[in-house]
Amino acid sequence: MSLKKKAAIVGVYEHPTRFAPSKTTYQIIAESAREALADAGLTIKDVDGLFNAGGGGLLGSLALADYLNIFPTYTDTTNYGGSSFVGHAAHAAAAISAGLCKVALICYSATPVSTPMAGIAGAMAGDPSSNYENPYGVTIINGYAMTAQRHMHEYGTTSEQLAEIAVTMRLHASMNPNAKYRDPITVEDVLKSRVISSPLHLLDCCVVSDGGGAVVMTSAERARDLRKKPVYILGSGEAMRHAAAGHRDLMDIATNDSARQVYERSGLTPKDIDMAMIYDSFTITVLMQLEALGMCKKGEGGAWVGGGRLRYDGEFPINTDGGGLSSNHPGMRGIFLLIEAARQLRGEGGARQCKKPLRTAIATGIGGNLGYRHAAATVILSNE
Amino acid sequence: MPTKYAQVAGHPTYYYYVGATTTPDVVPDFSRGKTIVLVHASGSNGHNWHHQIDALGARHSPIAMDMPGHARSDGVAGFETIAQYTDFTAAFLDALKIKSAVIAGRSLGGMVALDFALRYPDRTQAVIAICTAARFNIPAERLAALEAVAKGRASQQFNNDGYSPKTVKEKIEVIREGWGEQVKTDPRVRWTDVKACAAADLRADLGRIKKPTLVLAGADDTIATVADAQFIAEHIPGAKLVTIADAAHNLPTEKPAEVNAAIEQFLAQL
Repeated sequence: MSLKKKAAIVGVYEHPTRFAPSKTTYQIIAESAREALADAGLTIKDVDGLFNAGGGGLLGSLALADYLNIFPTYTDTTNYGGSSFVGHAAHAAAAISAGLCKVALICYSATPVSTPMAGIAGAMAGDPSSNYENPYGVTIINGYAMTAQRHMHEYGTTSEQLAEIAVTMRLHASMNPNAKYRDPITVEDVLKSRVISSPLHLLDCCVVSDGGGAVVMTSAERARDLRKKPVYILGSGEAMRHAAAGHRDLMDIATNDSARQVYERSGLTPKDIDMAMIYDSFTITVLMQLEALGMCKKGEGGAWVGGGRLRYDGEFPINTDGGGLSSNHPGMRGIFLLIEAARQLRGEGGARQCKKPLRTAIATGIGGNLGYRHAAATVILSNE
Repeated sequence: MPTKYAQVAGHPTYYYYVGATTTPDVVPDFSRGKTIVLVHASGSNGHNWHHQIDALGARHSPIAMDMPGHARSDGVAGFETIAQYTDFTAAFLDALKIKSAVIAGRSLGGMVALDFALRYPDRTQAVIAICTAARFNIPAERLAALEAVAKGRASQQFNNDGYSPKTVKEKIEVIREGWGEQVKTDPRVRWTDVKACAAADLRADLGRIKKPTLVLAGADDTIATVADAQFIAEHIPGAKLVTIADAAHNLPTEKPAEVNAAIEQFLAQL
């Protein structure tokens, strides 16, 4: 039983803030939800399914439902890191298809800049694995850095090649009035920025921002009567990778699995995808996901991302909002992948609208750490 | 120290105050003594004025805001020109329903205070210009160093620039507190603030300021020198200059008692 074209994204909104000490995360979610529902031509009273990760306190989405004053009869707070919201889109499509949910509200906010916490890196204290892992000094970045080192060792990938990704992200951010960093940068700027965890420089790393957003989904039938052109889910995939009791290949990332599932389920191939929103926690994350999506051969990502190929006016545009690398990264940015992909497919990209005609987009995220434990969620979206 | 947010021209703006108030949307009482708005320096914030807020608050209504992009006010960017900060200060007064006030400022804030008296004279009761200049002479190396931090090439610098040798020798805790204030604001904003100072020139306009003016200078200040302070005092009719020894560019935190006394005396004569 396929989910293909059973559900659609009908409303989206990315909150303009990147630093909001005056607001709670619930306020940012409420403001985003209000705008996303208005975008859809629906109201908060229409929502019967609530999807959120990371924001609910001890009892999942209860406090959030209280704040929004809704009474959802379906809720999902799956949390495997930044890609959770792409997973939520898949889960919402399944719930809608099964008749368990009519209107799904996927929402997110975090305020790491205005409410900083030290040391979110290894397993949380109290996590059963923390005593065994944290003493080894695992951090978010060094897992990604280790993966980058391996990719460079196995395939000869260079820092200059990784830097090209950051340069393109900054170009797109320069066209996004809400992006955190908008001044254009060069490959040299990336290489000259100080090394955070070798081989990753500061500008190989995503920004830290406060932020939030909301996505509204409903059935394909209902979507046809709403305000905007529907953005259909054609298929989805989810997968995990971890230490695997020591049998781990750093180059085998979860996206290898989630991409295979989404192509099988949608009946599409990499050639059928017009643009992509790819989780860009670090430049290496983008490069490896592009290989895993089958856009280029494994190991050839380094050369493939050069020459402006990833630009909004290039052969395979990605992250037209400026990505996590330049625009917005409050800790889990998966929801922004859905939002920008939907806007591009509707032709709402404005100055940064892809030059090539778009029928399909892939939104794919990595939650957790490459090189440590992570989960990939991938969806294919279409405007027809 | 009590604080609130005010919506100022679309910017949620954090500010320190002393008067009575109730729920978040209720503007505090500013009826005690003189209303004095304290405008912070480049990359700084309202909390840096805490010695002045505590002391002046006994008899007056001091207010110190975090400008957009600084400390606890929303937004990731500051303004690019002094004039924009001045206009924001006027909008801040509007949001707090204040008709006119004494405008005090340090360094960048001092330029804002002078500019405010020039362009919003009806809203200015008096001017207090602290550690400031009508025209700054900022070395290219200083701007390059701030740019390098903003672009991620260098780590933030925590140094003794802007403090008197006496403070370095005897009051290191004042400098440490200053470093603590420094990290509350993005280094990129500090850079654009200093650039805004470098681009401003109020020398030719000083003669048009017709408000009681107090100019305060730290004797050891190398960023806004005593000569810079003298220039301001000489060109504003009736202005008074007070130079305080053993202090530099951070005069209000280096010599708070002397600064507070000079301000109180000035306010008493208004």
